[in-house]
Amino acid sequence: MKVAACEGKSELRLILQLLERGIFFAKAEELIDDRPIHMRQLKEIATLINTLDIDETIDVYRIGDTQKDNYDLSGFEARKSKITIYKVCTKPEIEILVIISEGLYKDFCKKHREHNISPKEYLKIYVKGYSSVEKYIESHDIVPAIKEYKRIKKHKDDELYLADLINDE
Amino acid sequence: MKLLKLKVPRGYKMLCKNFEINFLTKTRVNKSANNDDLIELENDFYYPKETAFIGKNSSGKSTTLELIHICLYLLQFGRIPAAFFDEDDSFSLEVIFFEKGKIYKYCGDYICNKLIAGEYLAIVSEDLNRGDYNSNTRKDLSNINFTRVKDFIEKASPDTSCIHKYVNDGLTHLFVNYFEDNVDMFVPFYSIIDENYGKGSFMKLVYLFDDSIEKLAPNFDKKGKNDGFIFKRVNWKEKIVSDGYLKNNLSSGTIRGINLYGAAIVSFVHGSHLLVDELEKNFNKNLIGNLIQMINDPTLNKNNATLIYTTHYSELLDETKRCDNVNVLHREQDIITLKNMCLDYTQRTDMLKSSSFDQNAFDTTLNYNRLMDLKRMLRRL
Repeated sequence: MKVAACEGKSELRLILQLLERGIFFAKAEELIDDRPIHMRQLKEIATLINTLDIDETIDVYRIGDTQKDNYDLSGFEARKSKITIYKVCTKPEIEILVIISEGLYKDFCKKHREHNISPKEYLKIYVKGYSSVEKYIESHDIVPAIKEYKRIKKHKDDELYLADLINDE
Repeated sequence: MKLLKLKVPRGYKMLCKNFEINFLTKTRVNKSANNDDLIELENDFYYPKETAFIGKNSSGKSTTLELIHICLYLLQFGRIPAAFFDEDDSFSLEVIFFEKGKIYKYCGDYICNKLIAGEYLAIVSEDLNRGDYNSNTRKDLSNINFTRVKDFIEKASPDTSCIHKYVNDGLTHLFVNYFEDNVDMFVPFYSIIDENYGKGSFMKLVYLFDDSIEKLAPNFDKKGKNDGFIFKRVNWKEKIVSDGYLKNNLSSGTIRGINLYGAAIVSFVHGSHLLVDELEKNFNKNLIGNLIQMINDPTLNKNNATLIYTTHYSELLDETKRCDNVNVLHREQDIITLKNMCLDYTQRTDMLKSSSFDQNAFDTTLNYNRLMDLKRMLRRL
């Protein structure tokens, strides 16, 4: 069983869109509760997880931005050996995908170096009409940006990219 | 009398063939530890004061408790009520029990035939054997050398076995669920508790659950026949009230509390088995936790009463130190089987039983696939 654990609403909307387009690496019925779930800790869905057979393998894809902390797995001691957590990062924030999508990545890097500006702040100042990632992906194909992100960014060895969760259309 | 083991060769309701419950300890007892939760029937022959049955809904917990009730009823009255069976049902059972230093094995075949036996099952055949426990006796009692009890009269009457004559206790058990919601047992509880613990003792029980009640006692007419209750709340006038009034004016929690704790106290007096289906129903954890502690307290439970219960409340399992007295029921289609938490599962000793239970280590939570089938149906709207 797979868990698509989205740390923010933007990540949730994005994964839902990938599922709807049929390019997410798992089908909905392969995900726990048939859907990506917005959560900060696995404990939030403990009651659902604990309806699974005790020997069921559980792969948790924790989809968020920079993930410095680890999940608290207390309460899952009996099935801990069956749970694997995969960090799926988009750093420093999911909004970086919009910046890449708009072809503004180099400009952002420059502004970030000069003013320590965050992607969210950058978008508000420099992208006219931008309100949120959720709104943006309704009218833009974000997949090329996800793939470009993997090409230009280097993660730690134990961190996956969103692009790793996408099957080619 | 202690019920050690029971077996239903042909099954009962959905219980599997040869459904068997062994009430004895199944693992080593550390003699240097505090074993207040155990009864030492003979040297090195231990019996837990609590036996729990867990399982998901409709896994057979209530059926199992009902079966235990039927066996204990048989041992007390020599009869099996037909109300639990359909006409022409046949029923066989093997009951092994301990009574005054001896181990008895009773085997009986019964049939539900209201023409022959009316309200009770008719005896087809029966047999009583007796044996002794010794240091070589296996924990499953399989190697006891039983010999036939010569003076046992088989089928002494069509519906009544002589087995009850070999059980000397006045009361083998109380099944709390049969009276938990009404006040019928208040009169016998009042009499037994006040007689054994002194006048006013029953009121201490009542006061535990409702401290606004100053007086609650059975009322007797001139002929000595019970006629309602004398009832007084704080700042109210004392009055004679009917059972119905009492039922309507006491909270359901108070009635159930008095019945549960009252039954426990009566069990302490008789050293009998206390049967409770869904022990946690309507009570908070503290109230139940304290009851279990009282059962395990030899200064209170002086005659070795035992508690046999079913529960959905995982935390209750942590109140019991052992795990060989926790049984897990499973139903696959129409077959119910029983597993023992200690013998049939790999237990992590560093984990609370409740934690294992909650994580579905015993397959007792909802089934994921069936839950998802329901959710998918709801999402389609």
